[in-house]
Amino acid sequence: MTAIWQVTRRYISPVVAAFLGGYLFTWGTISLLISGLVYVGNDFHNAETVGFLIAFPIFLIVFFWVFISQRIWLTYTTTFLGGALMTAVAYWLQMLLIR
Amino acid sequence: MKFTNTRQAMAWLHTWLGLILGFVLMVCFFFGALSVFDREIDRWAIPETRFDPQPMPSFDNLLINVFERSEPDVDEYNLMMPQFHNPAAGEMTPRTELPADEYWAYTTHRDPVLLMGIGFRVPHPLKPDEHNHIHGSMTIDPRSGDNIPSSSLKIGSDWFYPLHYSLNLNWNYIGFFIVGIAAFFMLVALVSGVWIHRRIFREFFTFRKEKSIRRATLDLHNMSGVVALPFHFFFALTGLIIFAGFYYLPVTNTMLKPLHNMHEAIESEATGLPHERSGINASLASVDAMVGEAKSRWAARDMAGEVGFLMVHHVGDKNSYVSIYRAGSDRVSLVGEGIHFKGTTGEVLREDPPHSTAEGIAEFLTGLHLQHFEHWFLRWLYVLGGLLGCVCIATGFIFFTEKRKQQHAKNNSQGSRIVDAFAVTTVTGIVVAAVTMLAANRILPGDLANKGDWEKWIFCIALALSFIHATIRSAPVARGEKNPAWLEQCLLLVLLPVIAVIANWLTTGDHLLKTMFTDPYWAVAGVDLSLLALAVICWRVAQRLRMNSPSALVAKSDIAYDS
Repeated sequence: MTAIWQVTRRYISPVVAAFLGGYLFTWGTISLLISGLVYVGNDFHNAETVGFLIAFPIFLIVFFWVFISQRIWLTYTTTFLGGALMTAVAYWLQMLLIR
Repeated sequence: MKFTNTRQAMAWLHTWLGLILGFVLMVCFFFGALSVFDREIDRWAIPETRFDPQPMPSFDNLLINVFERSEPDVDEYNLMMPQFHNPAAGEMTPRTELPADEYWAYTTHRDPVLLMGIGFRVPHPLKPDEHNHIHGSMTIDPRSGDNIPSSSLKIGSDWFYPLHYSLNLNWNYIGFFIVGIAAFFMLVALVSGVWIHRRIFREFFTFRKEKSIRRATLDLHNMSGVVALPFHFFFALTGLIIFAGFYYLPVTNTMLKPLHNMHEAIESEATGLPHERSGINASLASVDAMVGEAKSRWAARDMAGEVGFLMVHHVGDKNSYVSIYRAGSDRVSLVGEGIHFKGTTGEVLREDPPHSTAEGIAEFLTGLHLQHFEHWFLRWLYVLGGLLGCVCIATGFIFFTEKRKQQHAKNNSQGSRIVDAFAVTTVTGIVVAAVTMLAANRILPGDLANKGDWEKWIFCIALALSFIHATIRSAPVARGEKNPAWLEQCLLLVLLPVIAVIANWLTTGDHLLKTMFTDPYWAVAGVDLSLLALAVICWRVAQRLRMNSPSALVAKSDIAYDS
C-alpha cells in the first residue's frame, strides 16, 4: 500500500496536476482570447480558429513547465488560479458583448 | 517532481506515458494508415460497388426521389425523439411522418457510391431554439439510385476509419476522449523523446542490427521516431485541432455558446442565408440549374471542378436555400468554394469570400490530415508514415520488456509479462483482427441478415482471442525468455491474408490477374496485393523469430558442440 502511495505521490500526481493545470490554463487562455478578439471587433469564427490553432502548443508548453518545475506553488497558482481567472474574465466579456 | 535533473524527468515521461498510451496510439496509427485507403477497402468489402467513381448525379431526376423515400433512423428516433418532443404540445409525431428539414449528398474522387443524409425536424420541440433533428442516412448507387443494403458494412470508412479517432467506443464519446488524451501524450512523448536523445542526428543513421536485440530495437525505435518525427508530431497535433471545438476544448459550444449563437444570427443577417424557417410552404427550384451555375462560376475563377457536397436547408419552406461546395481533389486545403442559392428561385444569394489567414492555415492543416487530394504517391507516403509510427511504438514496447524482463525474472515480478501480452495484442493482434474481419467478410454469406454486425463481432472476438492467446503464452517472459505468441500470431498472419485473397477470388471472380491486367480495378488489386505483402513480411519475421527461439538456439549450440 505504501509503495502505491509513493508512486502516486511522486509520479502520478505531478502528471495529473500538470495535465489538469495545463488544460485549465489553456481553456482560460483561449476563452479569453476568443471573447477578447470579438470584443475588439474581430470575426467570431476567425477568433475561434486562432484559439484552436494555438491551444495545443500552449497546453504542451504549460504541461512541461508544471511537470519539470520545482516551484510547485508558482506553477499551480499560475495554471489553476490563472486559468480560472481568465475564464471568469472571458465570461464577463461575453456578458458585455451579448447585452 | 523528485527527479535529479530534467533529462531524467523527460525519460520517465517518455517511458511510462509512451508505454501506457502507446497501446491506444498503435490502434490510431495502424488504422489511421489503413484509412488512407478506406474507400478502396470498402470496394473490396462490398463487391456490388466495384465500379468507377461517379460524379454527383442529377438532383432533380434522381436524388430528390431518394430523399423523398427515405426515413429517419429507427434507433435514433427511439433515443432522441422523447428528448426533443414537447409532451405538452400533444402526441409524438410518428417516425415515418417526420418532415424533412435538410438534405445533403457527399462524394469524393474515390467514391463510386454516394453518401446521402436527411435531417428530419421535430414538429413540436421542447427547446425550439436548439437543433432538433432526427437523422437518416443512406448509401446509393448513383447510376440507378438504388440503395446499397444497410447490412453491408463499409469496413474501410465505417469501421477502420472511425477506429483511429474514436476506437469505435461511442458511449458518451469516451473513445474520442481516450484518443485525444493519447494524442496529447504522443506530443509529450515526442518532445521528451527528442529531449533525452541528445545525438538525434547521429541516431538517424544508426542501426546496429548485428548487436543485441535490445540495442537493435532501440536503434530502430530512434530511427523510426526521428525519420518521421515531423509526420508524427503533425498528425497528433492536427488530429487534436480537428476535434478541438467538438470534444477536447468545446469553449464555444459550452461557456461561450451565447456568443456563438449571437454571431450565427448576425452572420445569417449579413450573408442573407436564412437562419430559421419562415413557416410558409414553397417548392424547390431546379437544383441541377444551380449546380450548372456553380460550376460555371468556379470555371470563371479558373478552378473548374465537380460538386463534392450539396446541401438543401429548410426543405419545403420559403426560406430554403441550397449550398453547393466544390470537391477539393486538386488541392491540400479543405476548402469548398461554397456558392449558396435561394431555394425557391435559384438566384445566387452568396459566394463564400476568401478566408482569413488563420482560417486558411486551419484549412490547410485539416486538409493535410484528411488528405482529400488526388495524389497517389503522397497517399502511399502517408501509409508509410503511419506504419513508421507503428514501428516506433512497437519497438518501444519491445525495448521496454527486453530491458526489464531479466530483472523482473529475478524479482519474480510479472510486470514484463503483462506489458508483453498487451504488446502482442496491439502489434500483431490488431492486424489479426483486421485481416480476420476481411476474410470473414468474404466467407460469410452475402445475404446474411445484419452481416455488418457479424463482421464487427468477429473483429472484436479475434482481438480478444489474440489477447487471451498472448496472455496464456506469456509465461516464458516471466522467466526472462521470449513470448512464443509473437511467432504464432505472425504465422497466423501468413495464413489469414492468403485465405482472404483466395476467398475474394472465389466469391467474386476478381483474382489478381483480372484486377491487374485483363479488367483492371486497382482498388481491389491494391487490397489483395497489400494482403499478400503482409503475408510475405510476416513469413520473414516468423523465420527470424524462429531462428532466435530458445529451441533453435539450443539446436545451434548442439551442432556447434558436436562439430
